[in-house]
Amino acid sequence: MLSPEEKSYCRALEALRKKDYITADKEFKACRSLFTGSKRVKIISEATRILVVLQEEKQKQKINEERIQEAISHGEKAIVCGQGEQETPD
Amino acid sequence: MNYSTTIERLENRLTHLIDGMLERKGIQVDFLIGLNHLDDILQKHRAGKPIAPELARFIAEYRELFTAKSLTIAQKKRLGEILSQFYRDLIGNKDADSDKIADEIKDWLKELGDGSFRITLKGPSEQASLSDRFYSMLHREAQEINILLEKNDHLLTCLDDLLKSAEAKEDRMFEHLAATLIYFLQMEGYKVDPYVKKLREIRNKRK
Repeated sequence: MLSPEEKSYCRALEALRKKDYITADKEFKACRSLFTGSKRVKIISEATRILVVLQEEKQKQKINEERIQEAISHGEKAIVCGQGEQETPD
Repeated sequence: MNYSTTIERLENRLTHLIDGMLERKGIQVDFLIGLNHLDDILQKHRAGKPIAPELARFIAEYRELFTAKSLTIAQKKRLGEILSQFYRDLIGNKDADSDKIADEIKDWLKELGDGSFRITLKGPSEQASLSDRFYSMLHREAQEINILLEKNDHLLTCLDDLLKSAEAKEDRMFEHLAATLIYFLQMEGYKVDPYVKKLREIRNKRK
């Protein structure tokens, strides 16, 4: 039978095949003790970790952009309805 | 280059790096993924859950991939060890599904061969040897007792369950295990007459 760490490593590889980087990252973290000396595993697990960070960053950006678009669209609506004129100085 | 483009580029490069590493280690990665699936099935089997369809699917999916040529000696040994465990367990079952899967495992083990693992396979008469069947039954009995002891505190309660199973199921393993347990309890000074009587009744009904 495989040890829990070995199973985590296998699941991490399977998740990478499916491009599920979040799961792969979690599984790599669970089997860290198994590969302390392996550069190849270190590279692949670090690359996965960075990919997860990048994906989170992209997600944040997407949410921000959506908020900006929403704000612009609300602003335009307000101008069309004449509310925008009241906010301008003069 | 803006921030989004930088992120996008970095993401592409890392994805390429990972894909490249996985591709270079192709069969090794396939092997580990497959071995883990097989280990999952083995754990399910040890927990007493039915695994025949899942194991059949595994064989269909991986047999062509994991061959004597594609695997290293260490990989063949590791795969062989788990397959041998399944073979020993399945060969003692008396149902068509188990027989079919055991035969497929036997053929696969023969293909992997090279003496990198040891297993006594069926003889030329296509019958498992007496010692194989005895070993297989003992192995299954040990698993059965483990499962029973998880839900029962005492061996006498296990014996009750075993006698019920022996009565309800065709599998002779339950009968054999009940008899073994009765004998053990008798040696330990327990009164076992009612159990002996019950087992005798079950046996007589079979005849």
